[in-house]
Amino acid sequence: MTATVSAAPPAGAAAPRARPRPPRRGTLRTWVARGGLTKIAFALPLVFVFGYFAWWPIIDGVAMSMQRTNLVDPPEFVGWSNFSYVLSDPLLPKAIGNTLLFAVLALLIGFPAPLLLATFMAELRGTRRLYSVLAYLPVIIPPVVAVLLWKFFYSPEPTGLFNTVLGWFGAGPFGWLNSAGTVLPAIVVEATWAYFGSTTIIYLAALTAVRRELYEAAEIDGAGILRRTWHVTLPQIRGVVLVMALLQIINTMQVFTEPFVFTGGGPNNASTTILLMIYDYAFIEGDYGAATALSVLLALFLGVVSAVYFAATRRLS
Amino acid sequence: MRTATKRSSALAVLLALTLGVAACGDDGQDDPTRPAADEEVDLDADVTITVGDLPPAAEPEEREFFEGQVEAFMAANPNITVEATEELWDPQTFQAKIAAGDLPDVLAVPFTEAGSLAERGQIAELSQAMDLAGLTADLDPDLVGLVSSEDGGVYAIPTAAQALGLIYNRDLFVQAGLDPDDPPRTWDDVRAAARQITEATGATGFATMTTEGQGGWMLAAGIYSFGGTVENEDGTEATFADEPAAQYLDLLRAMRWEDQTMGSNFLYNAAGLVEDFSAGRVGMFVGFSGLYRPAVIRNEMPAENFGMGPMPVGGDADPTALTGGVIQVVNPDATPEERVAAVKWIDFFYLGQFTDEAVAVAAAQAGAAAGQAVTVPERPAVSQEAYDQYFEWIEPHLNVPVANFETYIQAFGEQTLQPEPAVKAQEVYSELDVVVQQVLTEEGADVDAVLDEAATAVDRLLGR
Amino acid sequence: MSRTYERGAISPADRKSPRVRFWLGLTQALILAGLLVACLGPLLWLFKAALSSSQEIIADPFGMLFDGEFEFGNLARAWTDVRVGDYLLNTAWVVLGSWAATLITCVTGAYVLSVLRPRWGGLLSAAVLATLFIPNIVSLVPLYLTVLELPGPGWRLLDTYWAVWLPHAASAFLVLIVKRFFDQIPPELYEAARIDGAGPVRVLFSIVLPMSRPILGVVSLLTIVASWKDYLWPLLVLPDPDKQPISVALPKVADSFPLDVQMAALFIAVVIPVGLFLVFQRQFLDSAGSAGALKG
Repeated sequence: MTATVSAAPPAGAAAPRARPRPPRRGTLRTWVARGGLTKIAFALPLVFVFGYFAWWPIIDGVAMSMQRTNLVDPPEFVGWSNFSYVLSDPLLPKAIGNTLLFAVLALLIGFPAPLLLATFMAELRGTRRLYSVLAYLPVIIPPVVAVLLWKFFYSPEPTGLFNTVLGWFGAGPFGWLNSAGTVLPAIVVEATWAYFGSTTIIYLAALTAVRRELYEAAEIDGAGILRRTWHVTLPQIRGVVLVMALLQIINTMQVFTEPFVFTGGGPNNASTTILLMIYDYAFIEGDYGAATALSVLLALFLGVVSAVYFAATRRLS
Repeated sequence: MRTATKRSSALAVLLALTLGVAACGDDGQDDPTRPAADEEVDLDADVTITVGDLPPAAEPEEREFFEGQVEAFMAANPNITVEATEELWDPQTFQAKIAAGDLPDVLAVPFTEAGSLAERGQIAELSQAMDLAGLTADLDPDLVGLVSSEDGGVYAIPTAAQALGLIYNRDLFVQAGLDPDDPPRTWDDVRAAARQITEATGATGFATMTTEGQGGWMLAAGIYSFGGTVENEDGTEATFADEPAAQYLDLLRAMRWEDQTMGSNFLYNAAGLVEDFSAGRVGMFVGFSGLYRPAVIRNEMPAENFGMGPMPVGGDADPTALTGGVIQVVNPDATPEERVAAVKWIDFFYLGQFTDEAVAVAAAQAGAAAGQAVTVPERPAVSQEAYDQYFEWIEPHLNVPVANFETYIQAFGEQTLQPEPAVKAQEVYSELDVVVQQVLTEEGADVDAVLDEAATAVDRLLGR
Repeated sequence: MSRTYERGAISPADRKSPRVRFWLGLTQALILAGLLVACLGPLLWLFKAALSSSQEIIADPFGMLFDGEFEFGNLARAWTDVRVGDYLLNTAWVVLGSWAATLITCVTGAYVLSVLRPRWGGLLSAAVLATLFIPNIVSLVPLYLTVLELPGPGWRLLDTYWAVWLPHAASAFLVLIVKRFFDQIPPELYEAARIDGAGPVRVLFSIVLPMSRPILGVVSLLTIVASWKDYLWPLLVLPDPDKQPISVALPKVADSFPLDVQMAALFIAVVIPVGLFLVFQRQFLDSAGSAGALKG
């Protein structure tokens, strides 16, 4: 979860107050008496969990990307050779292209829908809860279950569910997951379906904090409903929208479950993403060095994307 | 079965490619996979072994049978406790489990794994244990050779072998006006039959697995059937970017795009393909005889509709069938006593029916009563004589229409039996999946370019 | 989502205009229809598919809806043979443990960083913050190796639920939002308690925790949803089928059953969480909304 720290405090909370620092000097005895041991005891869970499952793996990951190891023989330092091996993989450009295309499609298909829906739902009286519950239903379904269900919907036969519907309008039948051209959009549509509910609820919560006076001001200026929405509502939730967009980009760049369960990366690698490549390196080929090298590259790239994004959006606002 | 046994010439090839283990410089001295020769092995000590391949609860009859066998084994060997787990070989996670040393004491794996497992010391050497356990089965020496090193180390016990062949729906054959007792023998025949099936019934004429490495496996079978190869003998280089592979892919391309007889699903794993096959939506595919079980037992395809013929022959190549099979391997951490117990279990559970008429008949009876397939003809892991003998014993309990496998069985005598690629076979198969998928989903794909690309990828893999 | 409806972009005056009312009503109806088809539709379809035979589902996925046949045997098989119930229990266990581990880590950690404030607190805080900026993909493989053999004690966590619970708890984001919330609590409150002789443990339980219910709700929701949806990690570290949660187990076992039983299994896997959601939807949706506000 790469979230922002520049977040505003929860509404209504008081600003943090400065607290007096404990005096600096003291003997071991006074340290204990002041509760030094208690502090350490309270810090233990955090240090243990982060030490083993966050800090160490990150350091080890960077180290492993320059090692060759099969977990049987002792690891051997190989410098940059894992990186050059990964970078020269003929599959890499394709996986990068797929991953980027996935992210872009997810933005195009999956980004506007929740925003529009939430903006509309914010105007509802009385039935808002019904809409929220309905929109949230797909979020509750385990992603793998949703994928298995949609896999059936995407049957390439003319009698497949979606092909039947399209058949009523004289279109299709399409190959869906079985065709290199449609496989990524098909997966993105499913992913959008599965996740739009949670984004909608987040936008809706942000919209309830919109300042009402501005509407009246706009109204007096003669702005119609749509103009009010465009000029008053949306600018006020821009912060949330921008952060959600970044989170979505970062998450879709690390997409795994959907392509893995839908197609395993096929057909013809048309849905192979970078994470699938990492998985294959590590857990099919047992090439842990190559896997971590590619992970490090992806992480660096995501870091750069976040930095650029923040710089760009800061200038915007 | 009652067939000629002229197959040893083929197995010479198997032997030639056998285990790099031999060359891999273990002098037997400080090899952790072997117990020291002078160590006392106490055959009466209490031991506990874990064995994999317990059928999941999804298959209650088979599970019950397995558990019953475990009971019977423990009754016969009071000092041995067997704990059965559902652990099974899965290409997606096997590497990780191996790395983790997380295998049961006994596990069934494909032949293809033997080489690399033995080379890395990840499976136990068993010759001493086999002697001490008094392994009685008359194992096919050629197959044992496949899992042995040059200095006589035996790293696994083969328990089943298969030669791939053409599986077909006899009912669709009849509907299409084809003779169900005379399946296509050449790929040209297959193509014509596929056209006839699709034309007459609307079903997919011929389909192939394409995912999870199974697509690559079937592609390899196709390449061999045209006289090609996949890897060179040392397993250092891809050798499939040549004429035979191109011919096979061109055939697939023609069936897919010109004849339109390959249907619309090009992301099949074995389970998915068998599901459609059992529902009468696929006429033919290449597979192994064991697929009879999911087709007929699980998916309730009428048994008489399941037919199997020999692997089709491509062009003017010699008839060649890719063989695979199952070997039982033992965890290298097992003590000598546990190894003996493991071998005894393997002998009892997998091979007992080939040496003991009572066991064979009891197993067949129990299987038939539980609604299992008794029994699907395979390429035997024991000698042909023992296998024929076994079929005689269980004749009255057979519920599989063995006659529908007649052409498949007869062909054993005429075919070259081709072993799987010796090095990183599963990884290579994964790469080859893509080749099949590309030809089937991309109209006008350039077969030669596709093969070159895949060969580059496989070379990288093998060179790593 | 407050119960009092303040005005939005549409003013009360607008709502009286027939034109606005028409368009509003129409949009409302269309969106409702869309949501019903898209969100409820698949579940209803799945319900009927779970009660139909494989042939019907394949041959005519819509006609099957109205043929009036109900095969309850599918559900029984999905329950007893596919063991969906067991896998759901495993999932519940995964979720529960992750939730507890995360809550303990976040609360004690944030308490140290925000309230106890030892001299090394700044360093610790920075170390936690640093992981926030590093995408966790870097640590996928090394994390797996850590689970195989914990450096130091050498424990092997593979195939134990610890392997899922503990990595979930190492979430910098959650620790930091709890810390930020603790920061807002007026320090006078626990100064007073301390003067009354309350130790740090009592301050935590009697003052800090009772005041932190909203943030604990948000952390709980985020953890529960994340571990509920997790797939890759449990796939890697829980190879034993008897321990796997539903997400990991279902794609594998689905292959060995006929389609109708698969559908019944999917249906059970869906209907139980959906039922729970409908019961607790208010808490769910409110927490989900404030979780988003925190991310913003």
